[in-house]
Amino acid sequence: MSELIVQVASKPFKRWLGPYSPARGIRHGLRFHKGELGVWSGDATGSQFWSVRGTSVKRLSKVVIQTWGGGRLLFLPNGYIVKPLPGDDERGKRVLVGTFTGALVVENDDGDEFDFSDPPDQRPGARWDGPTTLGLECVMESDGSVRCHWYHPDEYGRAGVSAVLVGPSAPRARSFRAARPGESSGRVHITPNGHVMTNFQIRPKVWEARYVCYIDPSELDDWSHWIE
Amino acid sequence: MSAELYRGPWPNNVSKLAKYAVRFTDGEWKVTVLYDAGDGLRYLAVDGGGAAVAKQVNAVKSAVRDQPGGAFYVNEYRHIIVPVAADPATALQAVYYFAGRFNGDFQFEFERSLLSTRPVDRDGRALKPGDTWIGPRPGIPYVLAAGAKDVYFETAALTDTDPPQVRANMTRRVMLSKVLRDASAAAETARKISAIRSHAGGRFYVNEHGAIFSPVTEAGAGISYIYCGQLEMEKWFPEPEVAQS
Repeated sequence: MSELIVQVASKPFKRWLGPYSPARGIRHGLRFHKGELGVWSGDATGSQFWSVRGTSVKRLSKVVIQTWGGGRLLFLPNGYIVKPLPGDDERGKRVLVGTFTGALVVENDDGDEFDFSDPPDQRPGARWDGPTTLGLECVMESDGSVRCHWYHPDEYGRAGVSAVLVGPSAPRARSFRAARPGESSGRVHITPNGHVMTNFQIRPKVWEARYVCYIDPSELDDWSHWIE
Repeated sequence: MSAELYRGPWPNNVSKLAKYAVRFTDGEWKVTVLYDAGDGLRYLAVDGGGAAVAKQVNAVKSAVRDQPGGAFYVNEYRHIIVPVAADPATALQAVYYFAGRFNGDFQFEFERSLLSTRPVDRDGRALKPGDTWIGPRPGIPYVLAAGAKDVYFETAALTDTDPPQVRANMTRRVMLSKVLRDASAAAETARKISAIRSHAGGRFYVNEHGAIFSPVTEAGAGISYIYCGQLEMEKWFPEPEVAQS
C-alpha cells in the first residue's frame, strides 16, 4: 500500500455522528504524546510509545495540538479521521478533522515498525503482534456481519445507534471462529487499514490478540451521511 | 382505524407483572393483570371487566397485527399505549401505538377485597414513602441515573414527521434535567427515588396515578417493591404529543 497521506479538513470542523467506538483507556488508541501522534503498545514488561510515520501527519498534529492541546484521534477504516471533543460541555461530541489514504505505519524508538495495512501474519487465528488498542470496536456476529454501537449527545440526552457496517459473510464467520475457537461472536477491532483483530482469552485473566480477517474499505457503505 | 406510533417513552422489556393485558375470559375481552400473590402469580380481572379499555386496545391490536388481545400500558399521562410485535428488520421487539386516554380507575378483586393501583394499603389508607407497594405493578420504567441527580428513560428514536416513523437502529436516552432545562428540579425528583434506592441509581416505575415505586433488594428477603412518593408533574417529563381522539 502507498504511504500515508493525510488531508486536514478545513475549519470549522464538521460534526461526526457516525461510527465511533474506540477502545476505552487513557493509553488506548491513537493519541498525542510529546507532540507526536502514536499509540502505546507493550506487554507485561512495560509499554512503549510508537509514533505514526510520515510527514503528512505532521500538519494534522499541529492543527490538533493548536486547537485542543492533543488528545486522541480515531482513524476509521473508510479513511475518515475523527476527533472527540475534550470539553466538559462537549462530552460525546466528535468532529471530522481530516481524511487519510495509504498505510498507517507506527514505529518505536528501537526502530521496530508495524504496518497496519500489512500485518505480518494474516492467517485467521494467528497472533497479532502489533498494537492492540487501535481501531473501531465492533461486534462480529455469528453470521460474519459486523455491528457497531455508538452514542452521541442530542438535545435532550443522547442518541444510541446500532448499525451493521458489513453484512453476513461465511468466510468472515469462519475466520472469527478460527481466532476464537469455541465462540461464534464477540468483540473485534477494525484497524485503520481494514484488518480485523480480536482478543481471545487463552486462560483466566490472560488474553492474546489474534488476527481475524480483512475488510476491504470498499465493502463499507458511504458514511458521508453521518457528517453534519 | 389507523394507529399512530406513540411519541412518548416505550416501556421496553419490562417484567410481565409490569403490564396490563387484554384477555378473553368468561366469554368476553377483559382487562387483566398478573399479580404476585405471595404464593404464586395469578391473573386478576379488572372489576367490571374494563370493556371500554379492552375495546380501545383491541382496536389497535386488530388494526396493526390483525389479532386482538395482549399487553398494554397506561402511563402517568393516562395514555393507553399498546405494544405490537415489530418487523424483525427493525431489530426492535415491539413498536408502541397510542390507543386513547384512560379516564377510569382499575380495581381488581383479590381474596374478596379490591386491590387498587392507587398508592394505598389494603385498608385504603394512603401509603407513605418507604412503605411496601402491595398493589398490582403495571408501570412505565424509568432510570435513576447513577449519582442520583437525574432521571432518564430510553426509547426507540422516531422521526419528526407526521405521522412519525421508527428511525432504524437508533435509540434515545432522554434526561429529565435536559428536558426541564433545570438540573435542580430534576434532582428534586431524583431525590424521591434515591431516598429509597440509594445513590447508585437503578430502575423505578411510574403508574397511571403518578405513583412511583421501585424494586429494592432486601437482605434475606429478596426483592420488594417500595413506594417512593408521587410525581410532581411540573418536575417531570412533559406530556407527549398524541393524536386527538
